[in-house]
Amino acid sequence: MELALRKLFYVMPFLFGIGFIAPLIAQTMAYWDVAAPFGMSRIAFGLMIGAPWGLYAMLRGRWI
Amino acid sequence: MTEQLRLAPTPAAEALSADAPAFPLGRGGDLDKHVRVDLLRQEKAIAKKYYAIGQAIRWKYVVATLLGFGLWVSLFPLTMLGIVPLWAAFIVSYLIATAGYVTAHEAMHSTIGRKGTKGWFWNELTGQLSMIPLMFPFSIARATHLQHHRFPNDPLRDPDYPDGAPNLRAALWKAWLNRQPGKTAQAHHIKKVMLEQVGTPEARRALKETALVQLAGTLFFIGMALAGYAMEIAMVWWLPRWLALIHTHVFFSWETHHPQTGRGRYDNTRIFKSSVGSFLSMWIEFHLVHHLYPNIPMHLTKKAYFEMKPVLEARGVDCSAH
Repeated sequence: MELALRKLFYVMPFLFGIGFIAPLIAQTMAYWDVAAPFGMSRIAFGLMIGAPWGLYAMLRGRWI
Repeated sequence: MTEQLRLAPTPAAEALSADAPAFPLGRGGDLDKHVRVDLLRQEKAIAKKYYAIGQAIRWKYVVATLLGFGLWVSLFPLTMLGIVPLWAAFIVSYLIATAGYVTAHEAMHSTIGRKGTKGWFWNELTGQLSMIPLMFPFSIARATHLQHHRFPNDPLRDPDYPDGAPNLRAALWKAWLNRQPGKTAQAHHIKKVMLEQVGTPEARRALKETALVQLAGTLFFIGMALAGYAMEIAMVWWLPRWLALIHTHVFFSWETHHPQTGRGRYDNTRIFKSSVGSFLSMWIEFHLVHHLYPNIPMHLTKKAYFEMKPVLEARGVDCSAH
């Protein structure tokens, strides 16, 4: 149980990046009526930022 | 006697004076034992008075918590329905989360009700509800805070020690770093202190609760974002929580104990002017009074301080800030 929790906490920044940051970016763009570049959907654009950012935070141990 | 001591000239000048005492009476550590005992007696009498005042109005903390928590919860549907603008909800939520630490702090010291009394239920309820906006269980907040009171500024035993920084800018950056997921996280220090220094079953349970609460909170954020409410959650909980955590760690912890050098009864914290003023620092500028007498409610420490000031000055405490 403790090991599973530890692993879950390790990958949590990545999950947060795709599960929270990505929809937050997409919904914020929709709120301000901003279109995603290159004909992408807003959520795809959000994932393009949220996923690597979360991965960076997971591997580096900090978001910035 | 106190006034005489406060105005006492240097020992060399005293020797020339006609009404000089039989032996030199200095400040702080130079004080005669009988003087120290007398000063402590005066201190305690003032503390007793403010403790009694605090007990008479302790229900205000419960009411403030219930109103604040109710308002905070209501921000979710109110923003989702577009009744309250997100920017306004953000400010209100930030203030509630920050002030929530103050009401929880009273509960940590059981000033609302001691265990075994009728007030205990309200004490615990106040503590639990107040900490929810910060997504930090009351159990670990109380355990770490009481440990901090036992060993203030101790690098190995004070859970708040990682808040230390040379200046305000560094303290703000440190507060950010301490909340990051990796090695810089203060959580590692807290876990070490709780397991190795406190080591009680309550401390272990508090650590488990912390992990579960933070996991549940993060999953709630993700769930709400996927349901289409990412902006509402970000502005009502995620961002205000972040700001409140940095606020509490910098202005309630770092600034009160800076530069973290003293560990004695009168020098482990200080009397100072807060960088954010009295209101936003929630009157923590008189933190020495709190460490001397933790059962005096925070909002009464200012009045208690001004009454205690001559006694503290006689002790050698630097009271120049207020």
